[in-house]
Amino acid sequence: MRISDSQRYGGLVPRYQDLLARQIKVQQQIASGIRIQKASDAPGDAARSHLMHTTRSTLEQNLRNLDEGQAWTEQTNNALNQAVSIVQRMDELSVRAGDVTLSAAERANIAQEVDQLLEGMLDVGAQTYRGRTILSGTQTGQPAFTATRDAQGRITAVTYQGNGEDRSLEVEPGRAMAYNLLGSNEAGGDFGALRDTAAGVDIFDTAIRLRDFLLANDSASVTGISLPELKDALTHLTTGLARVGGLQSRMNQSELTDEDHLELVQKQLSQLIETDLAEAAVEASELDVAYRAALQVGSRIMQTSLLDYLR
Amino acid sequence: MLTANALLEVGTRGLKTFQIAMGVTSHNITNSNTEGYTRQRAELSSSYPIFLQPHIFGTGVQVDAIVRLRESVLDATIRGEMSEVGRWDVNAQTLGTLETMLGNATNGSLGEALNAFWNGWQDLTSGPEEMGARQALLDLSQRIADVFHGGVRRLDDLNTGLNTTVTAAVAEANGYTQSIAELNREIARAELSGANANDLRDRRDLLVEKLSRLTDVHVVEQPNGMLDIDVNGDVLVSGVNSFALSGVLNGGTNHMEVQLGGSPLAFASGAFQGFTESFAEVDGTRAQLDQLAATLISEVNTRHATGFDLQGNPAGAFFAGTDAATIGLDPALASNPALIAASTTAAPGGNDLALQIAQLRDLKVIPGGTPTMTLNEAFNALVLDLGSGGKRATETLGDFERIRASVAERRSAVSGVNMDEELSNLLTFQRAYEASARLITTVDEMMDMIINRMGIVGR
Repeated sequence: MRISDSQRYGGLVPRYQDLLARQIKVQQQIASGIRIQKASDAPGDAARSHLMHTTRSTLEQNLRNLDEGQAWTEQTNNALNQAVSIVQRMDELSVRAGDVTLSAAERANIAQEVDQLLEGMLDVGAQTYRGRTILSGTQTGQPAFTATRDAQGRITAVTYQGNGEDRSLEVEPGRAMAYNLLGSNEAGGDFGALRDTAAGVDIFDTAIRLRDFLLANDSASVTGISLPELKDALTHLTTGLARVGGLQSRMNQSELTDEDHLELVQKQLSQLIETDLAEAAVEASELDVAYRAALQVGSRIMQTSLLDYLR
Repeated sequence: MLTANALLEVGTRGLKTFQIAMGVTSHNITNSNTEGYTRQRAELSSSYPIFLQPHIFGTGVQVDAIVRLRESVLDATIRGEMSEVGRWDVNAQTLGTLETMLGNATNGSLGEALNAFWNGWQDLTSGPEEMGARQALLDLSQRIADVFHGGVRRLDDLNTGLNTTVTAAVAEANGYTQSIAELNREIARAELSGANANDLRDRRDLLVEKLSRLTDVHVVEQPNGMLDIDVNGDVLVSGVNSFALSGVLNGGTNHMEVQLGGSPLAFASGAFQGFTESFAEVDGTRAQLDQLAATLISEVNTRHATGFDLQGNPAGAFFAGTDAATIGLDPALASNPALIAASTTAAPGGNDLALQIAQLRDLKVIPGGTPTMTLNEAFNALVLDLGSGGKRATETLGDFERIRASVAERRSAVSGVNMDEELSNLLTFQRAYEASARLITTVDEMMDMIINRMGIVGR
C-alpha cells in the first residue's frame, strides 16, 4: 500500500491528542477524587448519584430534626419529673395532714406549702424550650396554664391556654412523628399531662382542693378525696413519662435507622462517583507509557527520509 | 535513417520533457504540506515516430499531460461524512454547554437548591415561631429563584451565541460558494485548451469539502468542468453563478433561520442542521425548566394559601411568577418572613403546613395529569437527558470523524505526496535529463566530426 507523507505524519497528531485527552481526564479524576465529571461521562450513574444526593440531604436533615425533637422531649421529661416531685410532695403533705392530731394552724401551714407547690406546677406548665412553651400544643407563645386568683393572691382556678394540636417532625424519609405532650387534652388530643379529661385527672384542681381542705381543717376530705386523687395524678404522670420515654425511644430508633441509611448511601455514593485511586493510577501509568511510546515511534518515523541517504 | 539534426531534436525533446517532469516533482515536493493538494504526475509517452522506409524511427519522449492523481469517487463519501461531522460537532458542543450550565454530574445546582429548599421547610417545622428559620427559608427560596433565573439567562446566552454562530457560518458558506463559482469560471477557461487546471481544481475541491461541513451538498460536474451545487434541490452554485444564503432572525422563535431567496432551507446534515437541532435542544431545556418552576410555584402556593402566617392571618402566595424567568418570592412575603405560613391553624407553633410543603419533595407532581416524577426526579431526568444526549452526540461525532479520517487516509494514499517517492522520481528525471544532454553532446561531436574533420585530405 502506498503511504503518503500526510498519512505518515498527519495521523500521528490526532493519536497524540487522543492519548493526551485521556491522560488529562484520568488526572482530573485523580485530582478531584470524582470519577464522573459530567453527566455524559456516565449518564446512568450520574442520575443515581443525583437521587442519592437528595436522599443524603434528606437523611442529614432528618438527623437534625431528631436532635431538635430529642432536645424537646428531654425538656418535656424534665418538666414531668418536676411535676412528679411536686405531686409526691403534695402526697407526703396530705399524709401528714391526715394525721388527726394536727391542729388547724398546722394544717394552714401545710396549705401554704401546697400553695407554693401549686405555683410550682403552674411553672411546670410554663416551661419552654428555646422560648417555646412545651406543653401548650402549638400555642407556644404563652404559658400552657394561667391562674385565676382571689384577693389574697391564691390560685382559685387554672385555665388551659394551649390547644390540642401536635407538633410533628420528619424523622425518617417520608415518616413524620408528633413529639410534643399536651398540658391538657380539653381542647383536643388523647393525653393531657397535667389535666386529662378522659382519665379524670386534674392536678391543678386536686391541689387547689387539697389546699382548701387544709385551710378548712378538713382532714377527712384530705384523706378521703385528695390522697386518692394524688395517687391517680402520680400514676398519670408516670404514664406521661412513659409516653415521653416512648417518644425518645422511637426517636433513638429513627436516629439509628437514619445513621445506618446515611452510611449506606454515602458508601454507595462513594463507590458510584469517587475515583478508585489504585485503578486510576494504573490507567494513568499505562497511558503515560503509551504516550511516550507513540512519541518515540513518531519521532523515529519523522526523522527517517530518503534525504538522509542522498548526496 | 535519422539525420543528425533529427537526433539533436530527440535529445532536445528529452531535455524539455524531463525538465517538465522535474518541475512537476518540485511542485509536489513544495506542496507536500499544502491542505487539499493532490499530487501531480507528468504523463510521458514516446513522441510520434517518423516513417523512413523501410524503418520507423522513434523521435524521443514527450509530455502528454500533467494529471492529478485523485480518486474522485472518495470525494463524495468524504463530503457526506464531513456533513455528519459538522452536524454532530455542533450538537456535541451545545449539549456539553447545556450540561455544564445545569450543574455537574454529581450535584446539580438546581438539585442542590431544591434539596436546600425542602430542608429549609423542615427547619421551619422545628421552629415555626423563629424568625431566623423563616428568614433562612426566604433566603433558600430566593436561591431557587436565582438558580432558575441563572438557567434562563444562560439559555438565552446560548441562544444568542448560536444565532451569532449561524450568522458567521452563513457568511462562511457564502464565501465558499462565491469562490467556487469564480473557480468554475477560471477552470473552464483554463481547460478550454485541453490542459488540466489541477491546482485550481484542488482549491475548488477543498472549498466544496469545507462547504460540506456546513451543509449537506449535492455536487454535479458539468462537461465543461464546472461544478453545480445544490442542497436538496435548492441551488447554491450553478456554473459561474453563486446564490447567497442569508441568516434571518425569526422574531417568533428568536432563532436565526438560514434562508435562500427568502425561503427557509431544510438541511439533512451539516453544521446548519446541527444548529437547528441545537435550537430545539435549547427550547426543550427551557420548556422543562419552565415546567419545573411552574410546578414548584403552583404546588407550594396552593398549599401555602391554605395556611396562616405567624400573626394568625390567612396566608397569601409564597412564590410570585409563572415560569423559570419570572419565579420569585411574593413581594410582601419577601420583606416580612412572618407572612410565611407554617400551619393550617392560627397557632404560632403549628408546623403541619411546613411539614406538608417539605414533604412535597417526595410527592410525584410532574407532569400534570398523571404525575410520575417528583420535582427532584424531574430535574434529574433533565440532566440525564442532556447527559445521554451529550454522550450520544460525542460518540456519534467520534464515529463519523473516524470514518471520515479513514476514507481521507484512503484518498491520501492515492493523492498525497510521498517525499521519498518524489526524491526518487527527481533522481530518475535528473539522470534522464543528463542522459539527454549527453545525447546532444554526442550528436554534436558527430556533427563536429562531419563538419570539421571529414574531407580534410589535401587541404
